[in-house]
Amino acid sequence: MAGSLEKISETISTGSQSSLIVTGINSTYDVYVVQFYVRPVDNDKDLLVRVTTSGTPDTDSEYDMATKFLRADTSFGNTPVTNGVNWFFNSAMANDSDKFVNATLYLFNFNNSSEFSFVTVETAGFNDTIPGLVGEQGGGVHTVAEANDGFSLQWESNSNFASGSKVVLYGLKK
Amino acid sequence: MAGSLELISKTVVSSNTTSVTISPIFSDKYSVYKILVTKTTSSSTNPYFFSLRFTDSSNSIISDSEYDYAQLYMKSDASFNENRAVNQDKLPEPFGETDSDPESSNAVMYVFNPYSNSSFTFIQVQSSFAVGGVSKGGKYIGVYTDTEQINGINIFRSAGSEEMAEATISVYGVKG
Repeated sequence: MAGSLEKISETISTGSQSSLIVTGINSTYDVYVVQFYVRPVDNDKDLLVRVTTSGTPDTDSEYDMATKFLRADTSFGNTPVTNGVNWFFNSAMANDSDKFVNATLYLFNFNNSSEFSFVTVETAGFNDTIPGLVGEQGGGVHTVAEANDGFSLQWESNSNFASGSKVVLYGLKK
Repeated sequence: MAGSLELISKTVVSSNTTSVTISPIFSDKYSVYKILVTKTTSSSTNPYFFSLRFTDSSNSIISDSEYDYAQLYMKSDASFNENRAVNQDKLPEPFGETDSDPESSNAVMYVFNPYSNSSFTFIQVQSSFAVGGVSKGGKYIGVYTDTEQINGINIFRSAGSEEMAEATISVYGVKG
């Protein structure tokens, strides 16, 4: 019997990619899921996340987010952003080979050209400057009523994704 | 088209116990696992919680002090709590607290790269639970800071006298 979570696309880094993009969002599903585990080749890099239109990351200033910043070493913080140029779902990530940033995201209304694109966020990774376990929990909105067909990951300063970094796009059957 | 979520294991607890070990469940077939820990109740009316450890390549429970965690504990009747620690010998309370039926805890956990012997094992957990007449929610992240191969999980009582009365633990592989 076919399941209700269906893999649509994936992108795996060989170590030379400066962005990882998954596309394939259309009217087939209403809700999509993205999971990734990634790390930069350089130390102390923020992970920059954007929606894509026709496969190209949207570099506008329309990214809002509100997340709780969980950390294992001290009091949690809040991460509020309005009109950002991307979503920050993890900051100052380590490039150690044993420390990936891991995430589960739900994408809503991405294909609807008359609605904003919404995302829920759960991440867990290892911050290089603390150093220690961190994660963002909350949500984000791309406040443009347009159809978005995918999801883009990029590191601060165009650091490459280390080999083995992977992002997968799934659809939830209607 | 085949689905991307494959049921690997389903364990039903129906009589009182202090420890449940499910191992082996992880393999090189998947990098990400989804684990549902649902309708978990305790044997008494005292709010109680269970802890999590992993098992190694020999299916032995790992109690090394290499577990870090951070938990946002959200209450419907009061301000929220933050719990955190590093270098622990377990991950305490990832699934929230339990109480006797009809109150229970229910949680969704993702485990990343447990079987890899070159990366740490990370978890993310969301939970909804009710204890002592109060509804609550949890956001939890954790990591086992060793690169050894992880085969499975152990959910256990780390203190007190209460026992797990009921639970259903379903383990899925997420095709990547």
